[in-house]
Amino acid sequence: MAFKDTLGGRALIGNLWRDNPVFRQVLGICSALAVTNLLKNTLLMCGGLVFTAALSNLTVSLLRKVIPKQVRMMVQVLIIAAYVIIVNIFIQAQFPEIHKTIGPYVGLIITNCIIMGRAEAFASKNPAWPSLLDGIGAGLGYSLVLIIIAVFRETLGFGTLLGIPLPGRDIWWYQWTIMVMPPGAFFMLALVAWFGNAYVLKKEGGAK
Amino acid sequence: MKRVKTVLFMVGIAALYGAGVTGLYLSTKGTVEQNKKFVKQKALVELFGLGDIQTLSKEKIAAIVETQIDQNETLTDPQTGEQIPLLKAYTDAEHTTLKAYGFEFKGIGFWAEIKGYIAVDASLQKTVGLKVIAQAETPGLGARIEEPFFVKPFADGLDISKPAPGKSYIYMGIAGSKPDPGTPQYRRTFDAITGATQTSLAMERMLNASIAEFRRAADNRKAGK
Repeated sequence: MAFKDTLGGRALIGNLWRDNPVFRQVLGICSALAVTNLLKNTLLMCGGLVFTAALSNLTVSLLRKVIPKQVRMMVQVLIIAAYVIIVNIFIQAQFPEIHKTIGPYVGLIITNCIIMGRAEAFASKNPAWPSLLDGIGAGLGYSLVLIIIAVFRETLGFGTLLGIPLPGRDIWWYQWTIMVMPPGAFFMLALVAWFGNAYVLKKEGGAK
Repeated sequence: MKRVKTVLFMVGIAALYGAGVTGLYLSTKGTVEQNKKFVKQKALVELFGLGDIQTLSKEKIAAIVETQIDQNETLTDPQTGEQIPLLKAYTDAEHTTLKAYGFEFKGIGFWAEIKGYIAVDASLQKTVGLKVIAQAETPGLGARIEEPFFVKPFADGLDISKPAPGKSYIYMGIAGSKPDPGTPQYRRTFDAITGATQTSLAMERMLNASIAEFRRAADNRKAGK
């Protein structure tokens, strides 16, 4: 059986685009708006989310037969919180300058609906390996959208990419203040969701 | 029985994860504290212009702060009773010549608290530096208060001699437009950040408050109280 036809393969690939958590399931929007005006911050946030989603899915899956049903959501929150704290401590110790900027948002990974959603919808019902792949897929799907938004916002708002000034940026007007501010993220997210949904629907329509 | 098992499970898993996270926190505590200390040390060296932080090693920066900055004195504002830690920067490790005084400022910016240091010359008549050490303003807009273009007027020297009654120590001006040379504001104005007027106004407000507090405390000390 090809990898893409396995349970884990379907979960990984589906989360990247067809069932993308951000523009198909509309989850994890808060942080998608908050950290995307600089690509560097976005990449760190995405790394943190992939790590947390993958490991919390794996842990929830491994413990799914011993977690009492009545308290399963409390346990999931506990597991997610522990991994988020680990990410927060790691960034604080290794990247103090970046922690200054995205520290408040890292804590908010706990409330990111993608992680809780995948833990409850997939990991609590499936074996460990597919659950791990599902978590990675959900994290990468979220990252894909955030990176697209961040590339446009940083390019148009600052004329830089990863803090490096882009060549010939004075030819176009790059100081779009609105792209730096939260409303710019709303516009970009709507555009990405519009494009993504239209493309997916078109493909699904063509397949029928 | 089922309830007891559920409670025991919750307690067990909470203890397990709690212990893991606590262990990680304790093992990195030293590094985090060092990072915080280093951020402050770099800020002070830059504030007083005691060296180039880009080329100096961590150890050298720590040594400069240790030997050239005296942090042992505290001033008291007679009006509010507030304690103001005083920084005294010297040109050399022997403390032969006083280079400048420094003190902390803080206040609420557009989004969150802004903290930093101001340096003033030995005669307390003009600023010689400004360094922001903590802020959460909008990246690319208000967050530019940390950038050289914003702090340069403070390093060049803004007049902070006692203003006329009812007037401010310093003023926020329009970017690229200086007040008339004859006006009292001429030597007291720093440029606002285009697109970040609220952050600039917050800086004007908190810097004036901090300078006024420091001046009162310094006068109090001079009077021997």
